Amino acid sequence: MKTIKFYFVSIFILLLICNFQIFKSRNLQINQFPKPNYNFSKNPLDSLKIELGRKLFYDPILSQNNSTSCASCHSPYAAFAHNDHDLSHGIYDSIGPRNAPALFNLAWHKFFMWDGAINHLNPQPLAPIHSQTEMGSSIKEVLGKLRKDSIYTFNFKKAFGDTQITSDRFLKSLAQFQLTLVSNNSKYDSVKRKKSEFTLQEKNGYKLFVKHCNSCHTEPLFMNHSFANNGLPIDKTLNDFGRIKITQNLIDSLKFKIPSLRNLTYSFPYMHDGRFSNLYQVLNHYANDIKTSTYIDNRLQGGIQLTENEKVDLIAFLLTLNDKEFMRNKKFQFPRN
Amino acid sequence: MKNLTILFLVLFYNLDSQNLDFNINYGDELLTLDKKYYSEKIKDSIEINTLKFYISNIKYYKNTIKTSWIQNPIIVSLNENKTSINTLDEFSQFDSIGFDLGIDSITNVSGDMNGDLDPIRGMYWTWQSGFINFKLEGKSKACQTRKNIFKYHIGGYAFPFSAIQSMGFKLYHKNNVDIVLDIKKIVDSIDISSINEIMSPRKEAVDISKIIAKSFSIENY
Repeated sequence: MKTIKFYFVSIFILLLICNFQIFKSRNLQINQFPKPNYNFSKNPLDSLKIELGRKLFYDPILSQNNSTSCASCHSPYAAFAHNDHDLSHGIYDSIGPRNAPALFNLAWHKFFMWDGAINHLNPQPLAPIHSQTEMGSSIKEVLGKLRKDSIYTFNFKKAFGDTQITSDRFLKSLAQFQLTLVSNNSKYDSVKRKKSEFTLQEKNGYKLFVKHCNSCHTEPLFMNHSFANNGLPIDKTLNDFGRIKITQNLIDSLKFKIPSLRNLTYSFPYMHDGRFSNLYQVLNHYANDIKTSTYIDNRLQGGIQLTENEKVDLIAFLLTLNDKEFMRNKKFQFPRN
Repeated sequence: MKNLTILFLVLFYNLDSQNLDFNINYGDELLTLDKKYYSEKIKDSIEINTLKFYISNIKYYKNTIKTSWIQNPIIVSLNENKTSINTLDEFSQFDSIGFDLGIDSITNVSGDMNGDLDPIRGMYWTWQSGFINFKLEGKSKACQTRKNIFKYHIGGYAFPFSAIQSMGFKLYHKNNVDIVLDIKKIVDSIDISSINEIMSPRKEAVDISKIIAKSFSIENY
């Protein structure tokens, strides 16, 4: 009797552990990161849905003339940004108003887009699908095409149990793939895990980073979910005033979302309009070009004091935020099977 | 077998559903889409081509205590001839009814797109997250716009431009309940020659949402 009891208790504990493991992977708990902002209980991660989302992410069927996929402007080799273009271009080579941001660690974001126009990862793809300079289509048109495609009806059935292709299922699958794009294996991360060490130069750069940059680009995600006016003069050819378009509040004029600093080497050019093509230009802006003005973020008034040597050290640190493992991860690449 | 039939009858009696009907009027008559009406206020003709809105959080009260609640948002659409909401409740039991015109902020930030929240229904802004609570489109020569079109896409969930409106009506222990929405009241209360295109959350949208709320009434007989 006692042994039976023992077996039952052990099986129970084992089940509990297994359950906890599944729970953990379905919720993207990362040890060094804070709790994700995404509510996984409404869309628990599932390998078949992730795979379906990946197929959709790389499929130009999402655009009106089947030419442009999500990956056209969010390419895996650019940390899912659109490198080498100041302003990203979509369907019929139309130039959009902004530089497509890099995609990673999206479960931790509270807002999407440079002006925070989108409040949740699920509805986010509706914006590019409907935009005339991005995919030029509509959710209705996209679902219509997917429903006629026998491979998609099969894949939706595999992932959801029946062949119904709805907006909700489509958007949740796309969200699932994007949620798996976690970047947490840079040199910085391995230093934090005590598996590696900074060089002297990187260490000095890190000190400068903590002193001058961390209040906006906050560790360990290197962002702080907010918007700031970082002193960039307005580009008169675009007249993009950022966050004010959404809130219509004057204090939000020229404020843009503070982006993460991970994977900078791959995601150039920088800023919402891609005006800087390298990190020296970015640091020169912060060190030399910021005027004192009531509209510019308080932390940047008068600019950041950096010597030429300090700029080099700071960049050496920023390069430790490149995540090669993230860039090489086959699960994130174009699905070849 | 007889017992089973009785059981079924009892079950069906209890589940007896009742419709909450929306009568969309233009003044004293039922509104017909695409029909020209003469407006004394603008001294010209006016026609309505699109009318759709969200009703959510339908609540019934008995002695001021909430006794029944349908939370799922439902689209009422004259274009789709969908002007009844199945409520599964006997109105005669209750003293009052309340509902929201629009979608609350919690639903707006939840990422939920099931049922009537499906963006395919054309009641969601794609470039900026948010449901359109109330959509009214039409034509009038008073509007100096392309093809004289006016468009009121009323929505917004965030401070200070929240455009959701809560309403409550007394019930008089009668069986039939019709909610009446008078479109004439709305268009007569807006200066359509100057405000004729609203397609984002802003102050004018909040003002119009208040006008719309005042244009609802109840017929309980």
